[in-house]
Amino acid sequence: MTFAPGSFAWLLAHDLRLSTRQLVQFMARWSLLKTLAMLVAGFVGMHAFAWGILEMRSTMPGLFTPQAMVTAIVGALLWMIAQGLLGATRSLYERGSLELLLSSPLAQWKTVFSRALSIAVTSAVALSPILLPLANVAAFQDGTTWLAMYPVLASMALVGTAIGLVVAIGLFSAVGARRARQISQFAAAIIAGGFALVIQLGFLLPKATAAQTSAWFASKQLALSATVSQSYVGLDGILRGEVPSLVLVLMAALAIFSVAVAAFSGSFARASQVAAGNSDDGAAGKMQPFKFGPANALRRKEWRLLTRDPNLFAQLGLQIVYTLPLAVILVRSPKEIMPALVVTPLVVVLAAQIAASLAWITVSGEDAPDMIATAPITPNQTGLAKLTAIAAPLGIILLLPMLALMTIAPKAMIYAITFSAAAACSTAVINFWNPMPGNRRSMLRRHSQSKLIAIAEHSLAMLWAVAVVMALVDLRFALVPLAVIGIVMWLLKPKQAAARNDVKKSSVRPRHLIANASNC
Amino acid sequence: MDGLGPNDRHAAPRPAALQLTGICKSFGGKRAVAGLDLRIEPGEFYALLGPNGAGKTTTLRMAASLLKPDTGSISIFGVDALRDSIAAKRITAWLPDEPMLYDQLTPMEYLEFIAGLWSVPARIAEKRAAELIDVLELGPHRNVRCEGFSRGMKQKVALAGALVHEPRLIMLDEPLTGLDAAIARQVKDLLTARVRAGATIILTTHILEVAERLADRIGIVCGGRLVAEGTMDKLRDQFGAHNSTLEDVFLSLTSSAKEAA
Repeated sequence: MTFAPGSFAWLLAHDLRLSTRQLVQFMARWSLLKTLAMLVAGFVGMHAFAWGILEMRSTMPGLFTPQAMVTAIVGALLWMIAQGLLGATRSLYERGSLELLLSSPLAQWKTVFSRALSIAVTSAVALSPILLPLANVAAFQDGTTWLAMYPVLASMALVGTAIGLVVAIGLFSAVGARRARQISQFAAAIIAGGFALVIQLGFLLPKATAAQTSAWFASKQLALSATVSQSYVGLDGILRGEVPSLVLVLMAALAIFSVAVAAFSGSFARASQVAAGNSDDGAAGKMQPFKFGPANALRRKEWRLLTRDPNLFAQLGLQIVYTLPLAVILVRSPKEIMPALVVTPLVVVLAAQIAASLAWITVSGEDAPDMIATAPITPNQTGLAKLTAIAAPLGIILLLPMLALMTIAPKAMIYAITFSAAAACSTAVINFWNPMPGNRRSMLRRHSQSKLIAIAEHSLAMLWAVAVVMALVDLRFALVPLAVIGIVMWLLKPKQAAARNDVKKSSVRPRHLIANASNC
Repeated sequence: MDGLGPNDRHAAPRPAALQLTGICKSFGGKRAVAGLDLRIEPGEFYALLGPNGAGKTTTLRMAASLLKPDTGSISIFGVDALRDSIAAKRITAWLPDEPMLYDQLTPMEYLEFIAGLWSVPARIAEKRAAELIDVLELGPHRNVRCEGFSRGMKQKVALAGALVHEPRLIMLDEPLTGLDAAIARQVKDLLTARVRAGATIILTTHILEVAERLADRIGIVCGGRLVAEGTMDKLRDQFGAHNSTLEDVFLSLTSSAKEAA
């Protein structure tokens, strides 16, 4: 289908094409038949999964209370707001497409409206494989009421994007281009993770406080329900799937979205231009005295890049937030070995996964591999320096649960430190041995590059977790998983080191440089 | 002099700054460099010219130990670069056509990093970095992250990085592409000053005027082979017309080589 050039539909199609480019490129590797087969399999699989979930209503009715539904919708809305904030921030700092469109004779509001709508569509589409099969299966079992999920999902995407857009512009105006990016990415991660934390609050609060809070929420919810059911908004109508109420909600969401875009499109365009031309906002503070030696140089460089990578910083910050419940559970537990038996393997798995991510960033996300390759240092020196560079952020992230473990089971803490270090080394080393092309921003998608490494990372993490549990029970039992770990590592160790040097050095270079290299 | 004892200097001839002998390199059956021989003397400014795909970058990447040749030998100031690449790297610098910087580092932090990799003592490195920043007029941006820099500024930072450890052999791949006239002049002045101070430079370029003005000798590569080499006068002699420009010589030699191939 083609649209008139310059029309809103044409612009939206352009933005959607950009936002779905990676998925389309990924699927373009498959034949038409395979693509259709995968789509059908995904559709059937998700609906089967949804069926299984809904079957649990009879066995576990506690999971399907109205409160749980409201919580799920609030969680979905939080996630939409996070996506809106991330999408708006990303658009602000893109030099290419948006800059080109804003310099064209197209109306500014049209460009911003289209970009915002594409963010909303992307957010809705991202959540739809989880929510819509549930709605479809529930509609099949209980009636069409559940199809209300469709307009509710669209409304949430519109409202979430509007809020995200306004917050992004507000942050930009309040703290400047660079800090706005860092804060918004961190905020998006916290908002998205906030839902998980809210659920865990029940475990963290003292029992009496939890009971009081629960009672308070229940009373408020009843009061709210009573209020809205009498009001013209008709929340009850939405819950009953009444079409007028759903249309009303959708129109209200569209109005909120339109007002937000209309009010802030000028600010968004100006902020985008400031962000694209921003070069003086990057003052890194006072330069510290130079340090001597390759190891120092590599470590300092990695630490600087890690702390200045807003995306990664947000993800690492989130990891620290996620360790809070682990620490609190341990501190509140009686001085027994059981909580340690549960938490210690979790800490080991966390260490393995974070180390793997950081190792991938330091090796495959290396922006100047040729510079390192022409330096008078051996690959082993480079690897060791990068490994030690990873240790510092890992130590900070795991500090809280380790301290908590120390209070209840010092022996478990010693095992946790030892096995976490070993697990981190193993997953980091396999990333050093098997570098994959990529850049720092694609960290979350790195596993799509090598399924083997993804499986190996998860297997090693689980094996180390099993090993630490067995070691806590009896050290001799740990020998079996340790032997398996040894075999896995041996299998992953490249056999042709020389061949690896030639092939992998070029493979860790960013893609555009690989293309240039062949163009001698 | 690396690789040679004091007594050897009397016996052995003066080692070349860079000597490539019988270098071949293929990529998946496609031959990029085909038996290339090249000798560059210490203190020389050498320009390697050639059409796109002639094998210039591949040759320099092999000399910089980034690629291993299929056959042949590489010697840098008497050091066998294939057998002891670390010793060879210690005295060389490589500047690719695309400046490879860390967007989130400032120029001073980048220079500290490079100096650290080459084990330059911290105090000396800091002094050299400050001097290079001044010479290249990067002073106002010394503590600003590189992400917002123009291509020219990035190229200047990358060049400073290549020079901060004072290499004896500097290899530059298209160092002036995409630079404005003022920045290109700064870069050319700095390179000329380095050669006057005793460094050896080999650069590839498509800007023939640069080669004509700066280089002591020019080598023309086509189809992975060195088809002509010498001073500008010698190349004109070879072409047979004393009033011809380097462009005339270059086009004539490369088209002849293509026809011969």
